[in-house]
Amino acid sequence: MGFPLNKAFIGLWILLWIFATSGCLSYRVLREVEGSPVAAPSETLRIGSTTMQEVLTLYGAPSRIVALEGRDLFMYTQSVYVQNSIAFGIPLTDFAGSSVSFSGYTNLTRYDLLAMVFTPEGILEDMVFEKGSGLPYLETLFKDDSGKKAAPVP
Amino acid sequence: MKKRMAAFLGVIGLWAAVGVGCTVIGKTKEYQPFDPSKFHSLTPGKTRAADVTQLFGAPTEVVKLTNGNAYIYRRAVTKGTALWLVLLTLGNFDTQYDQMALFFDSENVLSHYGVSLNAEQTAYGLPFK
Repeated sequence: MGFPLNKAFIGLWILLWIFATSGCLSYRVLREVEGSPVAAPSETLRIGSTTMQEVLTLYGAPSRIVALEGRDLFMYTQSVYVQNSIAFGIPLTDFAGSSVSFSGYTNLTRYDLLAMVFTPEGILEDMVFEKGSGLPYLETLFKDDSGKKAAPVP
Repeated sequence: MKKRMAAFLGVIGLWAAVGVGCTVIGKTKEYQPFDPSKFHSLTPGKTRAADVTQLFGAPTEVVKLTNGNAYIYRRAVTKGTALWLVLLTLGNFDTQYDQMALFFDSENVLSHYGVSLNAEQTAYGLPFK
């Protein structure tokens, strides 16, 4: 048949195998982003003097507004959800009574958050910023915080 | 020679049939009929809550604050992309919002407001960013 023809047939059989098992093996990557990027607090923001209108002018409408007891909270958030999943299965139910299957997945949601607390007079009292989207995917996913103890309340 | 060419073309044809992917794109809109271009007519200290509802309609959400209320107008656009490549599936969803937050004092007079218009910045794409 000749050397090139053998290679063609080998390639054909590989493709047929891929086509046949494509329904049995799959890997999926899914990403969902909600909200616009949250910028780090500007150096112009001053606790005790920056007003609510200045914050609204700088950052626009907040994602969420919450009334605390005697204080108002603005939250600017962006969430990034990433899923990786792999599934493998050989359907044998029709003639073997059970099937062989395996699946695994990882889900990770990370948040960028800027929270600002205002006094009843509309003056910035406190703010917290966290850039969760900058954390590494695998390290964050498999990080074990269960052994850490909470700091004692003063 | 003809057999080799036929086999080669057969491999190419099968590869094309198997390798061709399936692409899906979609768009979802959470619609609220407020016109952000009208916010230039808002005057803090003068505009009242009734004027705001006449301009923009009913708010999406009302939040009771320490010294008044906040009216929130919000709408969202989501663009989704999915690509199926036999063994590999890729999906990406991007959701962005248009939001207006208007703050009223205890007398229902507008004290300040903020606007964020990001809904048209949603994009199709793959999940590799």
